[in-house]
Amino acid sequence: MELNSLDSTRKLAEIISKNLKNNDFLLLKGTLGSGKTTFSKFLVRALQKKNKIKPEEVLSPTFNIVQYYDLGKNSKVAHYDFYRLKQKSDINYLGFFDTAKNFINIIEWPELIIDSLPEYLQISFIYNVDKDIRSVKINGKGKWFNFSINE
Amino acid sequence: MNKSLTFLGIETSCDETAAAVVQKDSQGNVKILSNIVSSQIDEHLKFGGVVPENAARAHAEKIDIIIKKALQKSKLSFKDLDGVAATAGPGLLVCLMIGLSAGKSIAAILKKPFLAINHLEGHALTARIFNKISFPYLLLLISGGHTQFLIVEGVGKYKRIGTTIDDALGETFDKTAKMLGIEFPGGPKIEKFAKLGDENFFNLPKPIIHHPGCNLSFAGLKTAILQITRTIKNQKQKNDLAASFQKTINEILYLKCKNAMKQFTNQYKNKNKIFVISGGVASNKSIRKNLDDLSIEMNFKNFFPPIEFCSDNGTMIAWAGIERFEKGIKDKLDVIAKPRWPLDPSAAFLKGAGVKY
Repeated sequence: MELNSLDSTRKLAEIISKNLKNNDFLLLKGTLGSGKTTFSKFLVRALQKKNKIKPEEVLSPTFNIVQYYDLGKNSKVAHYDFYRLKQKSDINYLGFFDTAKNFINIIEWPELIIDSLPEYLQISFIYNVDKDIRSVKINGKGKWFNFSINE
Repeated sequence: MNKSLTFLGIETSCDETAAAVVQKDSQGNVKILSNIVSSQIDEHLKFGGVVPENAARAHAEKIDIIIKKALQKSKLSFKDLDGVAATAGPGLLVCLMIGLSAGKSIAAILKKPFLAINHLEGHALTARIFNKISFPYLLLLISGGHTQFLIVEGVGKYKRIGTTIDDALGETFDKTAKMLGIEFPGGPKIEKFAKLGDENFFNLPKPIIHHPGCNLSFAGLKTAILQITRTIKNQKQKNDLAASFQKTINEILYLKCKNAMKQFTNQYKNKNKIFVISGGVASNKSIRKNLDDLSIEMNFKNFFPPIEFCSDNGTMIAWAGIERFEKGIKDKLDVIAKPRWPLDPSAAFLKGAGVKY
């Protein structure tokens, strides 16, 4: 699926937001500058809109490794970025997911954790530098195995 | 006349484990009795095995020895302290908790006042250790995790007038370095590469540069750099890209700082025009020079903390503790760590570039 404008990124985020529930894992794969955080921004915005929550500023989670966003009474978004982590054990030491019962989890740079997840939806961001075209590939595991988007 | 105050400051909000002892004497003179930062002494410490660089465990393993060293170096003992200050946010919860718990425990045992410090307030007040700077002043905070323009009206009184809407400036430096093949966090190396390069070689975008106000955006610049790095073949081109990147950042900062200065001047017509630059990126010499020049042009007096106090440290936390304590502020020992803790909670909400609803 091609993403030829910010608007199409927003539309994709809106579609995905309708399908996400607590305890889901959405993995965002792609190189630096491929659009993962921009997509996350639209996604958190769409989720907060859906839950009638006052929108919060969505910034890059790289430095903090995780940023949380409110979705009302029984839900939160945990927006992770494992870019700075070097090994799988770092995730354990940091204590992530210990309290993650009521979270929708968005994970940028998920390579360190993907094998441990029984169920996830993954969006791969592909940026063709020569043609200046962005596109995404969507795949999933578990209940997301057959997930697809009708353009 | 105030009495002399000696505070221990503890900082563990992100990667650094840091502690310091700071003393303000009855005349108002400030002495940094010790300033211990883990990254500067790691090679002398033996922990055995590999400690994950970014993990909370590293803080937990280092915190005792760092605090002990800070006390030793200060030549004081715990009973000489008048209070303990520790960073309570913003930052990574599991990291914050370690310094915060250590600080609370020490304060509880000593039965001395405890102060929970906002990391950003630490950066905001640091310059006042080294210079007599009166409120209000304009502050540019540029670090790996934060990029904001604030008006510091007083201790605990901040107005945010601008912020990045995506990546922090230090993060942009680090990621640009990474795309040039330098291990993360390689931001400081950009400066070295840039010295050898042609700053006019690449023409890079300046996102939201023509928007009024002083918000910043770096995500688009990052993508442009990604495009260029794919074509880069040799060290000369890397140097040229580093130099062009640094020049672009300087042009962005020049314009946005100018806007912030104009806003400050409009708001505080009869006040001194003071501009403080703080945070890890403020140690970049070309940025220092650029903002020195701008300050002269705009008739602002500008201050940078000494380079070792630009990045995260315990001194700024001890100092913020002293400043707050002098205002009569104390915190209870049940205060909790706050991963998200804006200095100006009332700041106008930012929709962010392209994110329109």
